[in-house]
Order: sequence, then C-alpha cells, then structure tokens
Amino acid sequence: MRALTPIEQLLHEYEDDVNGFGHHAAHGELLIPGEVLLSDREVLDVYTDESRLPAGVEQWIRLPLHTVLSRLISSKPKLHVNPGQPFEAEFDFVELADAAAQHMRICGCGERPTATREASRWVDGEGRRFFVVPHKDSSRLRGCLIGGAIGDALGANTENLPMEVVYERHGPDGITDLPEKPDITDDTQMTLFTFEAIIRSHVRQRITGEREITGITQNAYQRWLHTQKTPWDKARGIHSTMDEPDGWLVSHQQLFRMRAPGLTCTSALQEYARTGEQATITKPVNDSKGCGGALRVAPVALVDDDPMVVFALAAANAALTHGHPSGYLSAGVFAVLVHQLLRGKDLPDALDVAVDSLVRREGHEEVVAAIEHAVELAALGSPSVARVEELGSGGVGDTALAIALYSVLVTDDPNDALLLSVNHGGDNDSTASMCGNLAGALHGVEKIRPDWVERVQFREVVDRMVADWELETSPAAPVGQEWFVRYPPS
Amino acid sequence: MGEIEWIRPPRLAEVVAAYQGFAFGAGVRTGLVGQLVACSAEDPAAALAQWASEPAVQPDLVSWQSARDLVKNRYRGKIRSQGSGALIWALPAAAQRLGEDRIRELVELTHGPDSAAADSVIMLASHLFTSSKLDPPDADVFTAAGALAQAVRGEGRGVARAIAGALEGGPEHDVRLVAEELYRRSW
Repeated sequence: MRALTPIEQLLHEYEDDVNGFGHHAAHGELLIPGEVLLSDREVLDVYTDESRLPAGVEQWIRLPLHTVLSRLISSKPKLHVNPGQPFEAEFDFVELADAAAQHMRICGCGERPTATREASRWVDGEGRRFFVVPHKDSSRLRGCLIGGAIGDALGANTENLPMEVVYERHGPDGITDLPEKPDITDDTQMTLFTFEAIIRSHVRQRITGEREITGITQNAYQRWLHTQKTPWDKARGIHSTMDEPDGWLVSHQQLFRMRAPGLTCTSALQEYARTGEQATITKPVNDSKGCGGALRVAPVALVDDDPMVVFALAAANAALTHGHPSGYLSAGVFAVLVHQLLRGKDLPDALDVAVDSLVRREGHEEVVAAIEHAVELAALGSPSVARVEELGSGGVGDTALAIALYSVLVTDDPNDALLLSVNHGGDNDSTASMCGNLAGALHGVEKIRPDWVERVQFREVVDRMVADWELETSPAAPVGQEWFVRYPPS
Repeated sequence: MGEIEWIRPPRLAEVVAAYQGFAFGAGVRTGLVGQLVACSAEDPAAALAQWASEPAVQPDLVSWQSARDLVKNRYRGKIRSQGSGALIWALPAAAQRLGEDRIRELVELTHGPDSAAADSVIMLASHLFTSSKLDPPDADVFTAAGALAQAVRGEGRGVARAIAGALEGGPEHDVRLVAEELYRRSW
C-alpha cells in the first residue's frame, strides 16, 4: 500500500472546508492528463497521483495548485479532483483561489523567485509545455569530482605505506595506473555526501527561502556514518525522528562499505549523534587538524559566488569534525581554490583569493606556511617523491593541502599531477583525492585519462549528481514530488 | 617600556652584510627582498602599498595581503598574525635603532595590532648588530618566534633562511644600495 500524497492528506483533513484546503494546499501538486494546461474548459479534471490517472493516459503534467489557479484565472473552471476515485472532491475555482491567494499573501511565498518562475515558465505562446534548461559546461565540475575520485582510488590500496613497499608492489615508477578494482574510499564517499547536502540545501532555499547549509551537511554526514556500520538509530542524532535515512544517495548499497573511514570523523559524528550538539569553530569537538575536514569540501565551492562565503562555509563544514584551525582553515582554502578554478581562474590567482580569506582568520599561520612551502618547492621545478615528502605526510589538513597544491602547480597535466600526489609514503589517497579535485577543476574532465574516468567507481553517481545540480539550479528546477524524495530539503 | 638599549650604532658594513645575507638566504623568494626594500623606505606604509601593487615572486603572504589592505580597506576583517614574515622588520629597525613602540607600529602594518610576532622582531633587532649570542626559545616553526629560533640554528626555509642569511652576512647583491641609503638616512 502506498503512502498518501500531501494533497490526499489535506483532502482528508479538510474534507468539507474549501478555505482550509486552499490555504494549506497551495504548494501541493496535482497531475493533469495531457501535455498542456488548456484554459477553455468548464471543468478541469486533476489527479492526486499517477496511479489514479485514467487508463490510457500516457502523458501528464505535474504542477502546484497555485500555478494551476494562476494560469486558469481567466476561465475559472471547476476543479474536479480524482473523478470517481478515492479522495474525490470538486472545488469552485473562485473559492479555492481566494483561499490559496490568502495563503500566498500571508506566507509571502508568492513573492519568491521559485513561485514566479514556476508561474511564468509553464506554457509558451503556442500552448506547448515549455521547460528551458540552459546548457552549462560541466567539464570543470565533473573534472573536479571525478578527478578526486580517481586520486582516491589511485591511493586506496597504499595509504600510509612507505614508498619502498609501493615500489615493491608497483615497480620502480611507483603507482602509475588505477588498481584493477578502482574503488574509492571514505574520502570520495564523504565528498559525495557533501555534494548531496549542497543540492538539498539549495532545494530547501528554493522552497522555503531559508539558507541552511552546515546543518544539512551534518545530517548528510550522519547518513554517511550509517553507511559505516553504525545502526541508523545510533547515527541519525537525537534531533532526528526519521525511521530510516532519506534521499537518493544513501540508497546506493555500494556506499555501505568500510573504506578506511577516518576515526576523527566517525568519533565526532558519533558524538553529535549522542549529544545533538553541532560542533563549530568556537565550540570545537576536538583539537584535530587531520585532513578529513578538508578532503571532503570541494562541493562547498558551489554554494556562493563570494569566495569569502565559500571559505566560511567550508571552514564551518570541516569544524563539524575537526576543531584545530589547521584542520578547518585548510578546508576553507581548498574550497576557495576549487571555487576559483571552476570559474576559469588559474591556480596562482585562485591561491591569491584564498589566502586573502585565510590570513584574516585566527590560527592561520601553519596553513600559510604550508602554502608558502608548496609554492616554493613548485618554483624549483623537477617534481619528485622527495619533494612531495618534504611537504609532510598529508595526514593533516595543511600538509594534505600543500601536497595537492604542489602537485598541480608543478605539473601541466592532471594525470601527471595525480600520479605525483599519490606517490609518497603518507596519506596518499587523501592527497591524491584533493589533487584530483584541483587538477580536474583546473583542466576539465577531458584532460583526464579517459580510461580512468570510465573505470573509476561511482563515476555514474557523480555524473548523475552533477546533472541534478545543474537542473536544480536552472530556471526549470523541478517541483515534482519525486525530486523532493530524491533530495529532501533537510 | 618601549626602549631598546642600543649599545652602539651599527657600522655600514654590518648593515650591508645583513641586507646582502638576507637576499642570499631568501634565494628564489625574491618577494621577500622586495618586502625588505619596502620596509626600509622612508615611508614604509606607502612603499608597502606600492610593493603590493606590483608582481612579486613568493612574498610573505601575510604581509602581501596586509599591504594590499593599506590601499584598499576591504572591511572583511583585520589581519592579525604572528607569522614569520614580521621578522623582516628587524633589519631596518636595527639599522635605524628604532624604539620598541615604533617597531610595534611597523609590525602592525603587516601583521596587525598586538601581534605576538613583534616580540621576536624586537629580540632580533636588538641583537642583530651586536656580538651577544641570540638564544631564542623554541616555538612553532610557522610563527615568527619559531622561525627566529630556526634562523639562529641555521635551519628552516623561506623567511627563516633569509634571516639566517642576515645573521651570517652574504655576497654582493643589489640590495646593498638600499642598505646604504637607509644607513645614510639614519644618521
């Protein structure tokens, strides 16, 4: 038995109360058979769910009640809901429109771009259904996320192994190719959950006008924690009453694998689940500067045009699990670098913008020193394992950032950068993942080896999410129930 | 408070050696030398603003951003840092035998008000042209205090290496002209 749709619930609740129904159901969605919303009929049949559509109907449109009302204001047809079926109801147009209009005035939602966009995009001059989804060049964003996944997979089997062991396993050139089974680790898992949180927060802002990113990201990481063998009732946090994790991403069973999850992350998220207290920069959960805070924040670059805002949000994101300035400030720098590279800047210019934000934060000195070290080594040319290892092991945020930065600065090719960043005896999946994010954003996905792009685990998921992000941020952002099930706004 | 007990004025050769040593130690980071030149100008604030408006190779990033703020107040938060780049102020401060208060004012230009780096700058300046042994306490290497400790041991890189060069002296370099001009001005 399927769950009732919101409109069905409201029809049940306000059975004989057109005012109550109209007031509460303005944003509820109805299905109209056919391809266009005609305006010259006396009675308009509408349905509450696909399963209630008449037999033989192959096409229908789904749109909010307020859009139906605003589009049919000239003809004012009766609205007949679910003719001959459960939850059948008939409404006088004027009565219903009055109630809905009252809601739109009171809550102000009629003024929001989402409502005006929805109302204006519906039918073109010839009466055709008309969705405009402008094409965006997603090469850099795909390059960023897929490059990160490739770097992660390149180092997945050699994390923290000395180079002697790497040489023994892979030959004198070290790691030169993806492993036979190119699986990603917790680095990419968490990056995907970050990306999901960014999409969900956009959905939330679109439908409520409220901007909430860090809280939604916390929830996303609690879902990730659940994938790491933590039962949902122990992972979800005391503020959640959900019986099971929601959204499309967590439905991928391949995510439910322990891929060397960082202990700092898992313990901080478990702490949140236990106490419900979200860690912040001023109320840190620990004193860790591990790289786990930085390596997951590349998608935060998408949330705002202002790099200062991106920096602040990425730092706040990392502070959910890492309380030392070098842990969360390196995340701020990293996200701003991605932000600038996605906009076509070169890396030195991007660094300039990132440092402008960094030096205004307390406790920046260690990260500044790491950046200066990376730039200094890159200027010497002749990349080598020794130079990478001079920067540190990559286990903490500032050294991971330095290795990723150095690798991209000293090479002209994303594939060379990836191999440079993975061939050292430290936390090489993390450094290569961050390097892949930067190199992919700088060069675009086309410059990455096609066989790597094709083979790396979760490439399809990344592509789907990039497409979803573009749709979500387009003028034709979905309003269908399925979308909100796929990306719930929380 | 506020006064360093200068034993004797430095000799020109000492100042030149320190400046040349700094430039030698800075190596590929020529942006540090550019900053030293700006810090040694008659109006350091104006010179730093000018310095930051032109390209520089691997400058001290904190000083670089601060110098930009001297031109354009971004209203995005003051820079306050204890980073190693502040140590550069020690050279012109020692050559001109400045008082502590003036040194703190200069450090504020690049590292913000009440920077912990000022103490290290004063310590270095007051020892730079003396024969006494400098023995700074160990500190995090990414701070001015830590970089000074590294420099005294002849370790580190970047600013620490440049300061180590200043302590040792260095071969002929164009920065000699800046040192000579500063020396003349301080008399």
